[in-house]
Formats: sequence, C-alpha cells, structure tokens
Amino acid sequence: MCTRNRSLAALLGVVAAWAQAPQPASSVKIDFPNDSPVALVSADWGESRTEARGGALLLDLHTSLSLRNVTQARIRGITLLVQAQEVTPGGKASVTAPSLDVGPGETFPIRIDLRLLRPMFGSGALAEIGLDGVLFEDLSFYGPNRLNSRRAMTVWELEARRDRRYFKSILEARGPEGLRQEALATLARLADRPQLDVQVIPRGRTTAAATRERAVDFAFLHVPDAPLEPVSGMARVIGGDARAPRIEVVNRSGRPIRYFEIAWIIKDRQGREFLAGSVPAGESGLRLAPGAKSEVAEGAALRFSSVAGQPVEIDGMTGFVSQVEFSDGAIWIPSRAALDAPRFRAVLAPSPEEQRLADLYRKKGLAALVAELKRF
Amino acid sequence: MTHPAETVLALYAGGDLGWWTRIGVERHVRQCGPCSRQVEEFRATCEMLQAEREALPPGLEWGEAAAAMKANVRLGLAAGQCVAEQPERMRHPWHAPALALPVLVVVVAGWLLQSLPPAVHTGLAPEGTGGALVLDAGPAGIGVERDGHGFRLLRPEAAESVEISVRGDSVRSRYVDGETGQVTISHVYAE
Repeated sequence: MCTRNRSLAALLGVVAAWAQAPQPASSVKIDFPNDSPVALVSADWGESRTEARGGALLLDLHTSLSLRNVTQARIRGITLLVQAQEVTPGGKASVTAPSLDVGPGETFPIRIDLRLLRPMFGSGALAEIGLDGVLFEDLSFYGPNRLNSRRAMTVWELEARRDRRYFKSILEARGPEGLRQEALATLARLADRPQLDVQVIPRGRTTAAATRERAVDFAFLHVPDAPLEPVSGMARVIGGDARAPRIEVVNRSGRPIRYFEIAWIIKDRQGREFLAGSVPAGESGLRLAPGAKSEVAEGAALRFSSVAGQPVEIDGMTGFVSQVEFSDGAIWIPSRAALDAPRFRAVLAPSPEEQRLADLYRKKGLAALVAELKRF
Repeated sequence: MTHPAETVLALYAGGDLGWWTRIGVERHVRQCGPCSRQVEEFRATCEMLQAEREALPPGLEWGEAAAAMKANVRLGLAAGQCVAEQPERMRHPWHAPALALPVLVVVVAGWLLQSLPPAVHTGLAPEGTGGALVLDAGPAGIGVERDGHGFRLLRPEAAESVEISVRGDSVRSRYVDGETGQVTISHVYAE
C-alpha cells in the first residue's frame, strides 16, 4: 500500500474510533427547569475518558459544573438528581452540596464524578443531571423534591447552625486556643472512625442460608428531649448480613409526627462499634399521634464488611433517635449537649458543617476558622 | 536543470512509466540532449535483446522440441490422475460456501458477543443476588448495579474524611473536597 493510501486509512481509522467513542458532553444531558434558582454557567469535562471492556464501554465522566445563584436569596444547599435509566433501570443517584453560603449573583462549583458501564453499541445521552432542590437561608425550598431532599438539606442546615453556635460558644468561653482544641478533637474523631463498606439489596436477602439466621435485639440509647422513644426492635442476622430490621417507637411529644429516623450502630465480635446508618420511617402516610405507637420495618438486606473486604461479624445492635419531623414541618435534631455524651462521641460522625470547619482549620489555620465563624 | 534518474529513463524507453510521469519525462527528453541520447541507447539495447530472444538456438529442431514437450505434458496428466478426484471436488460450486461458512459463523458470533449485555461486573453484586438491584458503598465510591450494568458516583482523588452510611434503601457517602473545601454528599437509591 502506498504512503498516501496508508495515511488515508489511518485517518479513516481515527475518525471511526472518534465516532464510536461517546463524547462526554453528549453522554450526559444537563437539564434545569426554566425557573430554576440556579443557572448553569459552564461544564468542564476535563479528565473524562472512555475505555472498551469486552463488549462494553466504560465511561468515566468527571465534570465540574459552575452554577450561578440567579435569585435574591442566599443559597444554603443544593441537590442534583443523577439518573441513568438506559444503563440501570430502577437506579438513581444524587449529589448534594450542603453548608453553602452563596449570595445573589455568585457562582459556585458542583463536582460530579460518574462511572457508567454500558453496551458498546448504545447511543444518545446515558445520564441526565437535573435539579431536585435548592434550600435557601430562610429554610424555604425550591424544586421537585423527588428525593425528599428538602428534609435532608433542612436537617443538615439545622445541624450546621447548631454546630456553628457551639464553636462560637467555645470561642467566647475559652478563646482561640479553646477553639483550636475543639477543631483538633473533631479531626481526631474523623481520623479514628472505623470505616465500613456496605452492600444493600432492596427488598431482598444477601444469602440463601435463612435457616442459620438469628434474631438480634436492638439496645437503645436515650437521647434527652427526644420527642420519640424506641421501645423494642430486632433484625435477622447471619455473619455480616442483616436484614429486615423492625423497630417499635412511641411518640412522647405533644405533637403529631410524620417522619423519623433511628440511627443504627452495629457491634462486631471484637466489641468495636460502627455507625452503619439509619432506619427511616416510611416516606408517606405516617401520622403518629401523641402517645401513639408505631413500627418501622425495612425490607432491605445489608452486608457489612471492613475496608479490607472481611465480613463484619455482627454481635449486637444499638439504635437511637436521630431526627424527627412533626406534622407541621418542624424538625427536631439532637442537641449538641446530648451528642457530647462519651457514648455518642465514640460512634457518631461529626456533622457535615463540623467536618467542613475542622477541614478549614487544618488547611488554613485558626484565623481562617475564626473569620468563617464570624461570617454567620 | 534536474535530470530524471537513469532508471526512470530506462522505464520511459521501454514504455513502462505511468502516464502522468511519462508526460513530464517526455517534455524533459525533448529539450535535453544527453537524456535524449540515453533514451535512444536504452531503446537500441531493448531492440537488440528482443531480436536475440526471438532467434532459435543453433542446432535446435523445432519439431523434435514440440514432440518432447507434448510427451512431458501427457506424462504429467497421467501422474495427476492419482490425485485427480480431490481437485475435481474442489471445483464443485458448493465448496466455496462450505469454506466461507465457518468464517461467517465466527464473524456472527463475534458480533453477537459484542452486542450482548456486557459480562463485565463492577464487583457489586454479592453471591446469590440473582439479578437483583444492588447498591454498594466502598473505596471507589457508591454505585448501583443490576446484571452487570450499572453506574457509580466515584470518590474524587481529592476526597478527604469519607463517611459511608446506609439509609433504608439507599447508601450515602460524604466527604470534603480537598480542592474546594466543600462538603459533598452522594446518594444512590433503588426505586
């Protein structure tokens, strides 16, 4: 083949390969409503790549969206909905940025790192990124709220206010050195927390060995001022698998309750405790009158393992009330004083805001932390 | 003036150049005495070789040579009878498709394997999940998978202080972005 023909063939090959490989910008559709309080300024697809794996394409999409607040209110949090129905029917995801403080006209970044595995010969947008909600400074909310992001972002914002107040009180009472000690204590808690990997099969079970399962009862931690009290609970356990947790609660407050979550701590055979997550009440239909009892039951099966991949042998379980939403929309969260009890501090993760403030101290020092607290 | 190479002139003299190159060489030869003379020498040599090739070697009797060649051809045909049947079958019209069929099968199988759902798992599904939707939170991030298809929200390299938790039918990952200092909370859900 002459040089000219070889060059032509090479050029055609490059064009064919380019046409076959999905381009990041066309693989993801970003769609915000017309009256969205945020506008997309730019989307940087910098280090996205495509890789063939057998009969499939692996797409690593790395983007940093730059969004602008087009309202006159300050934004405290945003949740983006990520869907890939062509790739995984029934699955969806979200990315939330809590603890924001974005003024009118200001821009802020949201980073999304997404990996998709799809058949080689697909076409069209593989993933859609939309808006699920925006939370403002006055706790008002905009968005379709399909993921109940309103409640979640409100809880994080209330925790952020609680923890900023706590840090400010430390600064006032013990000075900058006291604040430094508190920030160091938070960083130590973050570093010491044991990590778990987890797999969840909704409405299923992880193994077929149901006959070897055993019922493990929950123990409960008392949270002062909690409007709800868990009275009994159990889950089916085998090795590192747990399924079908059921918890009975009674409303100790004088107001009807429409939603609550019970935090779930598991203990392994070595006596180590891990905060595994929470058991939420159903998202709709609950109206727990004052003094009334109710039961929350989860159909999911969970498998816990250490970061090294070894199953965590579940030996015991503990629960406590972590949040309550009353029928009027008011939300209760545990006070800082309650969470400072040694048993909670040993297990609970700092709130997102406390994590952010401690990280700010670590990176920029005490003066930056003090300045940040004075902004609010 | 740049002269064509000697080999080009030789090909031109024998009429073996492509038409486009020939036009250029022809124009040059008309204007260049040395090249024109060299072309004439090549042509003369060619004609001489042609004349010698056509002349029979001295002492060769054409009739005897023809008889010997015929005898050799017959001997070759007789010897070929021993293996004549197999080559005859090769000429049957169905033989080419029979050869092409396995190639076609391989090509179609390859195409089908490419088109089938990929058997490349992201390592999410535990044993015995039997095609169930599986949510997973691990070192690489949080993801959802069914039958080898899935997607995952990756944990950026700059992620620090990662927290993982389960909330009902969803899993959650929380981290501080080392570059922006911003907290990011990722969720995957099952509908």
